Amino acid sequence: MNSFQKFIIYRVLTLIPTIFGVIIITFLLSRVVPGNPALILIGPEVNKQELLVLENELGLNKPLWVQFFIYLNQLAHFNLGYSYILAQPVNYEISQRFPVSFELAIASLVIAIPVAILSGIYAALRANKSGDHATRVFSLLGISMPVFWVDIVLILVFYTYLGIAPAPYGQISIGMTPPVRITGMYILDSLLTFNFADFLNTSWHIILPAVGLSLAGIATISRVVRSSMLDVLNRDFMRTAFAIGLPRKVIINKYALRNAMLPAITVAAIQAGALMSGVVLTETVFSWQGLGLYAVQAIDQLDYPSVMAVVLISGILFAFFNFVADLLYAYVDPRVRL
Amino acid sequence: MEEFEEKYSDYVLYVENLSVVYTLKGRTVYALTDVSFGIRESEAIGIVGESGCGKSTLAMAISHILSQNSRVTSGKIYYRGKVIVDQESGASFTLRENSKSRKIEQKLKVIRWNGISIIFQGALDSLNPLLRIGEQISDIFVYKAGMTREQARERSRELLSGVGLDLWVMDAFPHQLSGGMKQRVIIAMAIALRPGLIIADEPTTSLDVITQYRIVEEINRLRSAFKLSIINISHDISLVSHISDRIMVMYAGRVIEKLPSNHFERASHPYTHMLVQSLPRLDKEVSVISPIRGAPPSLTRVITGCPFYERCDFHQDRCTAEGASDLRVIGSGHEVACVILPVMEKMEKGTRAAAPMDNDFSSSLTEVISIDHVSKIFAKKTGIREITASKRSEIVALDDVSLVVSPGETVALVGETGSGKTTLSRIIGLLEVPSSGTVRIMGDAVDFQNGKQLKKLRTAVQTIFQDPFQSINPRFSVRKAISEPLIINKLYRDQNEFMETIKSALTDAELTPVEDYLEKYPHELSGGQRQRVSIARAMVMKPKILVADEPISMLDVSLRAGILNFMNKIVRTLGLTLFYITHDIASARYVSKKIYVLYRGTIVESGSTEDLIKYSAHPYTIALVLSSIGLSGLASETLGEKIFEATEQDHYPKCKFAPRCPLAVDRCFTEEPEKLDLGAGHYAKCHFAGDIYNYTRKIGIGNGLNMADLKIKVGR
Amino acid sequence: MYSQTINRVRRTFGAGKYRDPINYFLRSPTGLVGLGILLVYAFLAIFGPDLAPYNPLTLHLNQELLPPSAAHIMGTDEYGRDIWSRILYAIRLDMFIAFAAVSASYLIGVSLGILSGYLGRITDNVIMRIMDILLSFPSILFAIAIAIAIGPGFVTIIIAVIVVSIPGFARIARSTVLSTKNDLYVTASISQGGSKLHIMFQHILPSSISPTIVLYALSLGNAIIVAAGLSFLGVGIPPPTPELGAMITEGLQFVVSGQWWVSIFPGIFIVLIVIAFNMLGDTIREVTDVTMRR
Repeated sequence: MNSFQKFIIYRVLTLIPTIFGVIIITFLLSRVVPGNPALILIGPEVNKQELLVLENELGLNKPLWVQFFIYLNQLAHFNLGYSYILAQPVNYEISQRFPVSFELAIASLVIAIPVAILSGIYAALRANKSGDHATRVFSLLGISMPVFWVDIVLILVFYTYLGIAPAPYGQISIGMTPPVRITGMYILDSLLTFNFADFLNTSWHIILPAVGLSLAGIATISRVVRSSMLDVLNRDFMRTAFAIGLPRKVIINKYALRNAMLPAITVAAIQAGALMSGVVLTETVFSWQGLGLYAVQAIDQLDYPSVMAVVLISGILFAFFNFVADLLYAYVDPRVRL
Repeated sequence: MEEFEEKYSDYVLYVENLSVVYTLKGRTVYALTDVSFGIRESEAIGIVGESGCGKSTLAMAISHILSQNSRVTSGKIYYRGKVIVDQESGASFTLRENSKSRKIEQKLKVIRWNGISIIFQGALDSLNPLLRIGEQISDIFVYKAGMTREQARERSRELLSGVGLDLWVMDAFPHQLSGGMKQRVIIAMAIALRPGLIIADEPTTSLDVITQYRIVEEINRLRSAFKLSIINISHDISLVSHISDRIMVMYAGRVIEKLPSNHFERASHPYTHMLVQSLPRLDKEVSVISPIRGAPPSLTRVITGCPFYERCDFHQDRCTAEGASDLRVIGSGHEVACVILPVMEKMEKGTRAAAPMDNDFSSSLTEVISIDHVSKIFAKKTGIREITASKRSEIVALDDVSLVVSPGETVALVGETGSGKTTLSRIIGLLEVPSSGTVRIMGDAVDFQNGKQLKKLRTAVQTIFQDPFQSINPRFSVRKAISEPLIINKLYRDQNEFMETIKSALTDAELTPVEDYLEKYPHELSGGQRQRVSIARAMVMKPKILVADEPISMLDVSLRAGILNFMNKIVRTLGLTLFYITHDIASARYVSKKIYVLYRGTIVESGSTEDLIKYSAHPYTIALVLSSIGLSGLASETLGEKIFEATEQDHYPKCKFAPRCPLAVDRCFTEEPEKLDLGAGHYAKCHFAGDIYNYTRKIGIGNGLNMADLKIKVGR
Repeated sequence: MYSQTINRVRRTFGAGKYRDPINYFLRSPTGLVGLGILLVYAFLAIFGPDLAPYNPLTLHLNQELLPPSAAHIMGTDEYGRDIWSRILYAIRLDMFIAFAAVSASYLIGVSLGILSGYLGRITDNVIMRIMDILLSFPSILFAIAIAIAIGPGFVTIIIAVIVVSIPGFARIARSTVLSTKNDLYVTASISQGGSKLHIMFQHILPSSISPTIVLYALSLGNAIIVAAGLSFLGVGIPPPTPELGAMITEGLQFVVSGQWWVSIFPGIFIVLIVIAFNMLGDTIREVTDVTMRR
């Protein structure tokens, strides 16, 4: 068993309590709701008898820790609850919408990561010259503009005035049929089913929201890449690499970048959280039928189980992202593996 | 850069009137001014100077890796007659490409590493921490010699065994190797392509004495094996003289003296001479070490005339004239940049520091410090690491150590990294709790849980720390730093006495005029000045015992003498008991009358300084002394390869030094050596101590004592 | 008085690269711009509502969606309300939320961090675990969860911002405490008889100030964005109270038809102040970066 494998095991052991903590907090939040949820679900016109039945069903008259165990049991069976508003299990909506959000997130990462890394390197190599200043101004803007406002500006410019973007009402143009469902991700599905009309259309639709989402991430990550590149370039082993006369590409990639990426990985993990928040906001602006919009609609309708389910999933996902980031970091940097 | 200069084609490297400037935040720094010298085939020259003298800039200029903000304002550098650096092409490297830089790199391609290679301080950061050693070395062969990965790996393996490293190093990461091993990897990489010239920039600083010696031996061996030319750069003039044919001394960006290395005692430039005079030495009798006052000049303005003017005791008006800093030939192979050339005997003024002696401490106590069977065990990090249970979960820093210090004694604790000396000094300084054993300070047994007693005892024991940069809060002014103990312990009665105490502490520390220093912040002071502030701060408490934990190892060479003299002075005038911790036996000899040698938590030898150094009775002590002397150029010794293995042991053998000891037998592993009394307070813990002592008394270290001989004589 | 304060500031921060931090600050472009914008906003927050040309709440149903003009410099929204007036009221509200929430989380977070770093062991583990879990939730979603529990509104936003800001302060305070605890000058202080209290107040607290102040400035910007985001989604300030994020929501449906001013102007005012906070944070960081290492 090498050091990396040992590290994986160690990290998995610390992941479990964190996820458990997420579950506990979500549970507590959902039980802090003031008032009687049963009452809210049924409405003001109520029959005492029906109320009692519902309360029983919901398990609201049992002590808190018993309710918690019921909840845990539910989760263990991958049952995320039942939405009374929609009159269906939450699982159904989640399975429909999760791939949609996932697709959006991936699209923005596909844009954000290469752009951030390349612009960070670019700025580092031109430190304190004009190219660098431009990147820093852009960074500052990127972290200062709320993503939903950026989306609005994008829509305004590219749809309202330039007319080259599609109408911001979802993943696919009205009138076109979505591709056959395999994964739930429109772009992937249309590709897999050779539905090129759908493929082009959905790809066209995802551009604007993905760009909006990626901006904040690009701003933060390129900042970090820039500053850590500058640090790395001053270190002794880099000077040795220069003196050896290794090819420029090798120096930048194998020696400089690998070392500079370490802080960027840490920052990227933090950015994953911001990405999830951004997804919620972006879906609202673009009427994107993902988990984010689902959560927002659920709030309006006071559909607590749905909201809690989304919160739970996002918490677990984020803990998982951090876990993956830690693994990636340890993979690159053998010193942390101990 | 096409040029070729016939007259320099005999030289492997020729530097002609090189001047380099940096631009830093709008200001110009004149890093190098008019530097000239040449190196022939198989020659080794040493460049000596302190921080800021320009030696590193010179090294990087020759390797053409200066940073972008540098400019060559005059001169050229020739490699085998071919121009590699001149005003037009500069000496810098950038990853940003343009057509000009591409052309330059194209021309340099053949020279880089094939012609000139460079070694930095490997123990720190010279290796890419994320790549395995094998990969980094192979990269050289793959990208510069056009080999395949497989061929490159094969060559790398050969290279590593050539410098005495085992094959497992190929797959190791840098952080898994010791400092000495990393340095050997760096050396291996430097000779990989059989260059004509290697630049070694401080190749042994920050390594243990014995390892330093090993590295130095290695460099010498490689030099003769491959007919390399070497530039050895260091602040340590005696080290450099051992491995170079000629020495070049630099000061404030200029060359101020050139001389053959075996003549370095006859250095004629006031600076060089004073530098030599300020080093504590093992090979000579204890004498004066005289510090150099002041600090090197700032390089932000052009200096006309001699740069050493202000600090020189012999300066005259004509030293400031134009041309005063030109080199003049005064002997065969000896050039000096001085117009006065004072006669050397005149220079032996300076403060005559008396030999270390014990103080007349009239006190009722017979012992001031008593360490009785003290052990200290550190637990390695535990937690959810059941997975790593195979590793040792504890480190034994001190193993049953006992010693006694009488009032007024000056004692040194000598050991290398990992010997436990820092732990012991912390225990005595009341900063660390022993795991077992009793500690008595001023006659009282210390109860480490008793806060009140500790506070009272702290007024008696004060510590000076190694790192002058970290031991003062950077947010504190000098005044605030020194006032801290006064405030904590309420050592003053009114505001007047408060300020008076601070001012007199500064005066005693020779930081005058006092007003100039009161409001300065640490980063505005030199290392030596900071140490003086730390000492002043400690003295304010009027302690009886001074614990000095490597107080000079992080200082520039020219500042060390000053601090050692200062320490000696206060110890003598205040009648303090001194406990001095160091890895450098030579400085121990200068301040203390008694030495304890520590190895891996055990005291292996103790005795009076002179007796222990001249007639050591333990193999480790002999190795230490020989390495220190060897580095000063007097005994060319092979201590045997075994000594240099730094082993991580899971189970300590009975004599901890046995795995590395050239004299070890089976008995050493199974039977703990007794503490042998060799007379006159000299003790050693070795099965062969008696025989060794007899032998060293006969021969005397430094008179050609030889590990091989020792082996025979001791009957092995 | 003034010179006394300057000296105080100099003594706390002046041990950095720059002998005179205030001077440096005033001479750096980012510092000046950031400060300038902040002062303008402070002025607007205090006096804005008095300067508003129109009542932000009155409906004028015959003046809906008017583009920017002399009468309405930023146009009107779908109920005929003057946008510039609404923005003036919104600035006061948002600034208050930001400062109140971030100040509270500063106090709580930094205290927790210092306790955690100083006491170590169990306290440290427990507090940091809680922080980790808090950080496991993306801010908006966590705020949504709180909103669901308490109901949307002013209090919800403040609590949400406080909760998501605390972990950052706790982390930074803790890490400065840990690194200072291990610094040599603290050991020196101990060897001279320094008590735990003395070390806390003389060494640890002063060195934790600068990094936390930087985070304070940056958190203010973050607070505004979170508050705006929550109101945008409808879980923050309920209508008709003007709030920058909520105003953007109101204009969302009109973007496609070209009535851009309803959403864009409020957004610009968010962007400007957040840029200002970020610039201030960056400049403070440059000024107070003590050269501890050589």
